[in-house]
Amino acid sequence: MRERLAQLVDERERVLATFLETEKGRLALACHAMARAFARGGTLIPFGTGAAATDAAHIAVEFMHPVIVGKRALPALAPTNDPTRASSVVRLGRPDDIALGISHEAEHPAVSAFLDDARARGMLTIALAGAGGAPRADYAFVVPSTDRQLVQEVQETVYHVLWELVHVFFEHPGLLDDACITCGDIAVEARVVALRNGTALIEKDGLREEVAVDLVGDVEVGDLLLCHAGVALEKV
Amino acid sequence: VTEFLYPFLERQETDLESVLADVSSSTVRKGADVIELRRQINLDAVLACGEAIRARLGRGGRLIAFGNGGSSTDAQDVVGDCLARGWPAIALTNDAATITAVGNDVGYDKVFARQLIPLARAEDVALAISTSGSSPNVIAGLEEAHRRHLLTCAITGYDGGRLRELPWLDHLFVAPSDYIPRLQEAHATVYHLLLEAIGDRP
Repeated sequence: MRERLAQLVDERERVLATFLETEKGRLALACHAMARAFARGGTLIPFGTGAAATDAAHIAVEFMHPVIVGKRALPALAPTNDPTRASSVVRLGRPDDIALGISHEAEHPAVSAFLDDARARGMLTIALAGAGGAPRADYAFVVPSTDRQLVQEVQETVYHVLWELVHVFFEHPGLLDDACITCGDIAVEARVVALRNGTALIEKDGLREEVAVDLVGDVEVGDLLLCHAGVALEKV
Repeated sequence: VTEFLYPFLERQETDLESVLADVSSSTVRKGADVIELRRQINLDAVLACGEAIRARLGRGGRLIAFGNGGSSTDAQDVVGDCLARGWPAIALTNDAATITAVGNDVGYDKVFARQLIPLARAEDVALAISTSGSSPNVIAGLEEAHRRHLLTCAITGYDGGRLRELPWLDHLFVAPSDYIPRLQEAHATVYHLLLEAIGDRP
């Protein structure tokens, strides 16, 4: 049994080191996207079921009540803390919010549904899953292991790191503003993340901007629009 | 030319690249820190504690776990894993009504002790999780558990805090770090290894 425990520790070391070396660049980009969403007034909504529901609760308290004195409290709500199960992303989520779906396995249907729902509402989506998973999200992080407890431990490091490093971007406020996406010389393609009174909120590379859609007729969330100078020119 | 026209734009891009690079490399360092903490887990102590817990559970005892904040979610997690292995287990922090009632009427320092008074049986196991090792309600909960002859186990960080000063504490695991995110990640490994040592209910 002692050997078995030693093996489990070695396996944790191997998977965590490999995972972080592979994903460090995308983790940094995810932190930047989260920091911008918080700067826009977004709320973090972490979701998981079963054991992953405890991670969702952990993430909420991490952001709401920072363990490091002096870090600002950031808004976060775990719908699974509601025993009536009536809190859903449909009622809570707005386009500026961040959905963080957690599964210790390849895929969990409730987590996938949560992320799809969040994406349809224009939220920034981040997914944490185990080996074999291919979650639909803006930033998906797959831990290459099928040991659910090991996956959970790597994911705990991931969400701690997301929390720690979101604060690094708050120390560089110049990096939090949404630059003009459509102000360049050429038109750009961007995805519609929300509709607001005759305009569309578009997103490209994590940046967001409101554009007029009078020239393109009916627009739906998820449409790809060719835009220039604050105006959508055509659907792609 | 663009630098002359838009010096700020250029500077911002450079800043972003360097901040992203800093953030990436610090991610890898954080991983190395928790790996080091995991290597320091005393596996013989994990085995001894796992066997002692299993003996209690085998006699009809239950695992009762508690902690504050992130550690309260660890308590919920270890209890869920224990139930999945077929053993009875209770997470005191699942009961928001009792915790807020006792916190409001008596004081937050008394929440876990007050819950243990009616719930605990002598054959049970108390598992306390505290990053500082000094949370008054966690210490009071363990004292109550000890008075009621439960097996007392604790997982903590820093230098062990006040938990080190409890001579009757049966099992203590310290992740020797003063940085909560990393020591908490090592805590998850400690209780996952404990569950492995406890094994499934036959």
